[in-house]
Amino acid sequence: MKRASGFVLLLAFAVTANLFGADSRLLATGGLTQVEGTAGGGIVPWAVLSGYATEDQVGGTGFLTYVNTGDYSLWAAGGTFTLHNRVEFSAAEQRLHLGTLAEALKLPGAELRQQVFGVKFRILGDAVYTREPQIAVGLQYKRNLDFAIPKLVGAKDKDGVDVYVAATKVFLAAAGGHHVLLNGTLRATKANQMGLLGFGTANDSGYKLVPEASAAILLNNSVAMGGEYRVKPDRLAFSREDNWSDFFIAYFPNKNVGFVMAVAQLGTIATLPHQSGLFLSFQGSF
Amino acid sequence: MRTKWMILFLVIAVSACAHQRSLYDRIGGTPVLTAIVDSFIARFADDTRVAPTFAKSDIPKFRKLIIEQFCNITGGGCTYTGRDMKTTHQGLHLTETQFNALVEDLQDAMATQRIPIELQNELIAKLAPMRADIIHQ
Repeated sequence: MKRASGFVLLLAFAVTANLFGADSRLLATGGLTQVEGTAGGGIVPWAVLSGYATEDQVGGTGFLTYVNTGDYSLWAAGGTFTLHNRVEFSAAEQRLHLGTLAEALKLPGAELRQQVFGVKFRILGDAVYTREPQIAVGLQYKRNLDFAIPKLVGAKDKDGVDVYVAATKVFLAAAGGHHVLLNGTLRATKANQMGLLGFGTANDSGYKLVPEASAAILLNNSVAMGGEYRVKPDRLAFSREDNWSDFFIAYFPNKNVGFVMAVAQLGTIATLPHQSGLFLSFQGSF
Repeated sequence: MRTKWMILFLVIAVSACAHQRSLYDRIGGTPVLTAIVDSFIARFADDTRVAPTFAKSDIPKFRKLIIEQFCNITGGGCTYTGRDMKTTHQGLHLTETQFNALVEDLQDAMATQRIPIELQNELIAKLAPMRADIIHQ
């Protein structure tokens, strides 16, 4: 079902791509789509806005991401809409399939679903052309659709809002003639495992500040590789929650599509340790 | 640990030496810059996003000046005899979209002339700071 709706969404974006034709920012400057649905790396939101629209254009993306750690698999799909390279609206749905854990614990349900609605404003700067980095602030409203399991393991709320500020700068020809992208993000969040395990706990429901960072090098005009690190809160008593990292390679054959292959290291998730595996993502831009 | 830092230092030192030759020399001097500029002009003349902007331009003069400028900024020792970027683009009202189109046309031109990506990027890096004086004038 999720796969089907994701593909339909991408098809819709591919069709609208030709209608809008907002293709004027440079290749790869729309970034990828991170797993919560906004322009970024694989797991970290960046200050860039999705798509290739400039100040006098509108644009956006559709994306589909699949992560498999062996014990778990995650599908995420969604879309964004960017107005005049100033504000980006995004919507995404995540489905975490609990395979191993659901069987072992006889949990009420084998899936955790969450919807994320985001808005991101570019405050100042242009990641490529200005002296100062591009800076953006964003909100992510997250709504857990299967709160029975998160509640069972100690989560307090089924929804929550993440607030973040991100700074992104592309250093032209900085590493042996290759462009280098650096991004730093600071997030305030109540989410447990991104929100898939709800928000806060009975005795700890305040915001926590967590830093996130990405670095990438553009090998040529269509291939980038890099890594990311995302610090996570660790509040639920039933299981530890680890920081996340990934190493990715992204390929942008043209401005309409982007492919990402990554290895994600997600640590302990809901008592199961050493969760790492392949991260695949497809993005269509218009 | 110390060995690691020494290796890192050596790598930086070696790459610094490699960059002692000017971009002008490494790219192939005036003949190659001229070929790039000719490809560039051919491309944006066909590019509907920017071609109208240059409808009234004196192309031979533009060609001469841009070759001078590329030679100048890459360290080829030429004197750029044109007006500054801000004055040159006065009244053109170039948008971000048009600026990005010109960058793409230049990238395509360099690719056509088989300029290695590292040198393409270095030239783009030298031109990028001019953007503020080129758009919205």
